[in-house]
Amino acid sequence: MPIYNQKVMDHFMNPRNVGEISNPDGVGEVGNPICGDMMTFYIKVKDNHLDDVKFQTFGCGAAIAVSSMVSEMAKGKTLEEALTITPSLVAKELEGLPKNKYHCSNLGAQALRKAIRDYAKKKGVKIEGLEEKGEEDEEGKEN
Amino acid sequence: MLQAARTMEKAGFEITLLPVDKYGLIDPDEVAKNIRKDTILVSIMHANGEIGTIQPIAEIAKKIKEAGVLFHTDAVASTGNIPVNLKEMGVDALSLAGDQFYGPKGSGALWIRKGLRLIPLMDGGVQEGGRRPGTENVPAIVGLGRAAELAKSDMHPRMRKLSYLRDRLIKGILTTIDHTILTGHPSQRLPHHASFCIEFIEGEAMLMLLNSQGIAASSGSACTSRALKASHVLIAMGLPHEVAQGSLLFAMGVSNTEDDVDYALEKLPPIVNRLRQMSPLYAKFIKEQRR
Repeated sequence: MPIYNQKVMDHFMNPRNVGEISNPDGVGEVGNPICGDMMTFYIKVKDNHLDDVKFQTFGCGAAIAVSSMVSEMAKGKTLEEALTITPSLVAKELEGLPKNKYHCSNLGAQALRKAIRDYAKKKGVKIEGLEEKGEEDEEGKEN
Repeated sequence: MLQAARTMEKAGFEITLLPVDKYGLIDPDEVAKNIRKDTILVSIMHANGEIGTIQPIAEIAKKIKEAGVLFHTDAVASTGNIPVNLKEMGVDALSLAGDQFYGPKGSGALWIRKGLRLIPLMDGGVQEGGRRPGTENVPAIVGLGRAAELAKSDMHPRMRKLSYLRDRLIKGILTTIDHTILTGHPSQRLPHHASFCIEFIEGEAMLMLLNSQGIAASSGSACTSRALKASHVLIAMGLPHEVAQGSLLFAMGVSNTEDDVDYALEKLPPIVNRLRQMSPLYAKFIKEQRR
């Protein structure tokens, strides 16, 4: 078992915002069972703000802690602000992740981004920071 | 051995990997069928530390003898836990490790049939009959010997006690937690060993929550391995990756009691439930009633 710091342990033992939102405004799924972690993020949007964020995660301690942290970081933010959350910011907020967990488990920001993209697509709105270069490629890889 | 075989392959040897059945068992006839004219060595694990399955080594040895090929068995997980009788097993070489039966960590032995000559892995001094250079680690050697004596002296009562605890744990887990698979053979398995795949959740998260309750277990999930790859043992037995991710194993020891088993049986179901409530795979399964 890896040794996680106290902050990661806190988010693992007491994860924030676990669950599903009924009639969500956007859903984002990432991961695959071969690498071991799968995350689904649900968002509810009100006045361009993330009114509610919930997640479901299949994965290790780091994956659960990351999901919890992302949900906490995103909640209440504007969509544009939420899009600035990156895996390295999440790791920083968690005060560090074990080296081998950094890539595999740190998918939360990506799942949130996908949920926001799902919302933008459904509503037909453009959100600053969403259509970055290379993003379509990244989605192509996911599917 | 898998890694050693891969190294030989890189050096130009051909290797044949035999399949296992859903219990992780090797078919002795399959071994016989795959022996070629130029086969020089067969190596089969005596018992697997991840799933507990014990191979029919004596039966396999008979088939191999007929073909006149050398037979090695990795008996690391079995020695000290079940009888290991070289004569009955009929092998030409056997490896064992002391840490498996309360001997010093880092101690181990390779037994080889008299007359079998080996090329040393390292070059240097002529210690250990010229097979392994370096000053012998006398405390480890003495400790290993003493641990082996002790393991043998109470092996049968210990096996009886541990297999009772094992069966209690297996029965308890399979009846209280649905969508759970016993991995390895139900009866042809190590007496202290109970291993499972708990569907829809991941092993490391389970270990962390068990640890918080003072329960030590292990897992072959990708996340718990340094390579972040699912256990090749579970995949070889035909389990899908997401099921192999829920691998959980309990290896009991002489100090474990019935109370320990009952404590684990009390603590595990809520842990599984908690992680399933978080799992997108479980949510999907509940909604669609299929995997």
